[in-house]
Amino acid sequence: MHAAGPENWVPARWNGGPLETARRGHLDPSFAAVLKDWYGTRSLDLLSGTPINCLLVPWSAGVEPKLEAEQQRILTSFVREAHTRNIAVVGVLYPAAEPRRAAESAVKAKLDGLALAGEAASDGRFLAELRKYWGKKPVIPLGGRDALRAEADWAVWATKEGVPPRVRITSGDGAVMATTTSEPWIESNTWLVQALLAAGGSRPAWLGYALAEPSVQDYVRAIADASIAGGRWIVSLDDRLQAGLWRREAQALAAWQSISAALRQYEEIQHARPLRPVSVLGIVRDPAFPYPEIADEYLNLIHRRRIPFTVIERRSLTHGAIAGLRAVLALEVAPPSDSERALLESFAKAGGTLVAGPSWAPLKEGEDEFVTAAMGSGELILCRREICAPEAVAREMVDWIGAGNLPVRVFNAPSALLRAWRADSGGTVLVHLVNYASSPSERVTVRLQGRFPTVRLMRPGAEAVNLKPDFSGSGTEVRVERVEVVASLLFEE
Amino acid sequence: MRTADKRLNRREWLAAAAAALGGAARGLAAEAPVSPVSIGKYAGYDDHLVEGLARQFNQLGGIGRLVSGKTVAIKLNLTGGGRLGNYTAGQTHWVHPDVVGACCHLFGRAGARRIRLLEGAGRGEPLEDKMLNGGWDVAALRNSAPVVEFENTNYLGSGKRYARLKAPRGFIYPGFDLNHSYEDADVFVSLSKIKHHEECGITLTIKNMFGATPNSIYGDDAGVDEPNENARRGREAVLHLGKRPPSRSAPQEIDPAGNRYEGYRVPRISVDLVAARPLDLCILDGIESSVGGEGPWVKGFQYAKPQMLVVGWNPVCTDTVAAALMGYNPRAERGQTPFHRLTPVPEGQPAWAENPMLLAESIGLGSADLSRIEVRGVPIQEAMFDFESRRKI
Repeated sequence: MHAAGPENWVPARWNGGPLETARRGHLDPSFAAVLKDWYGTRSLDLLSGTPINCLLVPWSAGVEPKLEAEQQRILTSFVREAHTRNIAVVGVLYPAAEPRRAAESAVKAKLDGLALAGEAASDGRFLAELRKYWGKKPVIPLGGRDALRAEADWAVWATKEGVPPRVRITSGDGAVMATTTSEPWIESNTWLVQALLAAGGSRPAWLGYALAEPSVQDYVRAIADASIAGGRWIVSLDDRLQAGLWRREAQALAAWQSISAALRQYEEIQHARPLRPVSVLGIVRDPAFPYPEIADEYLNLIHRRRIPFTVIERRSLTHGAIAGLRAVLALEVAPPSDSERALLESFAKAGGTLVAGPSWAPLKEGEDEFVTAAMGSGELILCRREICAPEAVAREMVDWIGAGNLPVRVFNAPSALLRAWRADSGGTVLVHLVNYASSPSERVTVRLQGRFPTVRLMRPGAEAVNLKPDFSGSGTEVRVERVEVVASLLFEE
Repeated sequence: MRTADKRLNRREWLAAAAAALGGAARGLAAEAPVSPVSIGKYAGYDDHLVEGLARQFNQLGGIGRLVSGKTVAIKLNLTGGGRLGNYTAGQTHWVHPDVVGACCHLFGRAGARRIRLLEGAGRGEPLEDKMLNGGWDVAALRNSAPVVEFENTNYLGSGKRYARLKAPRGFIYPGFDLNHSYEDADVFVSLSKIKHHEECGITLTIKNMFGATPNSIYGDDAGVDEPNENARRGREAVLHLGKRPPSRSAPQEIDPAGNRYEGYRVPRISVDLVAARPLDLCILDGIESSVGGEGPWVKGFQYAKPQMLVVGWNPVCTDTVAAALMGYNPRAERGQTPFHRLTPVPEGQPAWAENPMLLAESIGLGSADLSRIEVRGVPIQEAMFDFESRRKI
């Protein structure tokens, strides 16, 4: 296996060859020429100096055997060359692929892993047949999230799901309009990565969605949006960029440099060291919760409210999992078992805020959506309905926790979201900001609880700069004059 | 529905001023106090603002005697949140932080012992956080004078009790319970934006006082008997529409059966507040501003750059000059431009609003008679900015 194991793979789709040409159907002739010659040292040379060390290539799609054989012949020598550069190659199998033939040829070509696209990922028989010939070597799902249930041995907790991260445009002229709540609508996948990481245990989380006609900023944003939660977006080149890179066009190379710089930043400061998320809230997820879309919205909307949270799988709900949190959202713990009840009650009695559903305790008739009661030193907030409106939960959560109790806050950046991490060794906190709007966020203030005399601002491709912290408010405040797309702040005691 | 009227252009303004000089103002209006008002023109907030504002203070006789050794409270105008496109709130519907900083600096330089910045903010939110959300450099503001403090006046704040301030000759309320800072200050300053207002037509000094009322007592979820320090909602039910009373602990309406229409109530309540907490200095920021409403949530809200700063001792006189600078007749009656709702209302529903300057004048708070007010600095004709023609709805 090359480039360590899947946990260290930095993936990119590397589409080319006759199979990709056949799969795509009508293609611009000049781009078809790029695909035809893609698998050679010329494309591998592009990876030099970038963190990308895992390439996903089309391996089998159940098309004409001669064409597939030709694809695999080309790729076999490509894999050899990639391995000499310490780059792993993962073959992508599409739903019409024949699992035995695909697996046997992949073994012969010394592929490092196989990825199952679309419905292939959720087809149990396909997977079982594949495993017979591929064994326990890495298999990565690239289908919907329901595919993750198909087996427990996925090498990566991955999905093709995800949205191009951005601020949703609400006016006809393309400008982001103010709303009465002064918050633009941000589309982000950070919450989804958090959910994948929690469900996958110690396995990495990848998102495999593609961007439509992306700008360089869109690429950087997609990388950041997944990375700040500890996951990775599978870099997926659009045709124009791929062709430009092949031809070594200056504009494409400049874009590639920006993409590489963004990847490098997150690999160096986020993925390369043991970090744990800074959280104030634990959200308990139960895969058996009958309303999965609602469960997703709790994460999505609470993230959008900039409340730092940790996702806790119901099976992992322990004292340790909720220690140090200020609140637990347990709407999916319905009904609670005796041990869950005891655990969460003790959390509330010790001063925490517990938010639970109607199965927790019978409620008197009333109109209020939430009923609050003291519980020891803390409080119990019961939602009257089994499906508790995510928007209301997210909105109220800021109040239940108290804005002043949020460990990290960002001001004057309505189009930005954040994620903070604390070094295991203590003394260092990393705060990532992603701006989802096409225009920069300016005069942004970040406040972190605690006193941190040294604060460094890091941006992809730029030298780190020291910022002057201000301690006259509560905690440590720094002002970032401009956030184009991403910025990371390293607070050190 | 709008009563037919027209705004003033320069020529009409001169005619109106001449008519007023001819003796149009009578009765209380003629007796109401007058004081000078200074107008300054600025290319932008980086156009020698400190020097310019100091010059305007000097044109009024200086601020040294007013603020030296005193606690100065400044009621800011930070309406709502949000932003219009890439403009900051200070460029459109909030006072600009540079004007606040310049004021603090000049008050400090003139010997103010303490400056306290006042405005309502969210529950549990320090005022500084609201400012940070507007992109303000709070640390710089804090250092702009020897002692600068901040108070979120929507709640009890750092005080132990609310201050009871009586409104002599009140229209709607005989008095108010306000955050202690309104009582603690020796000198009280209003620093507001020059802009439109959806329901009242315009926002100037008098309207700025509406925001002094705490949500805990005057918010829709104010306590019934006592203030609710967890209140979060605005003042629609209690103040705008009179659908419910304020907390019983506070002074109640003089006539609970009186007119409930907001165009009637909001200007009167604003005037009551000015009567309850008299102003010593009024500053209006119109260097950059907006037309079409008080904030970006109003349909038709747009950026504007009037390039003016207006300063006066008396709120009625200051607003009168500012209204003229906006191209409006300061003595327009209710329903006449600009004193009407800016956005359409359903057929048959009223759209008028009272002229707060005339209301204030009628109880002797100051003169709204332009001909009696001495204008210093830049003449009105040279600084006028036609707000009405820039409105799109």
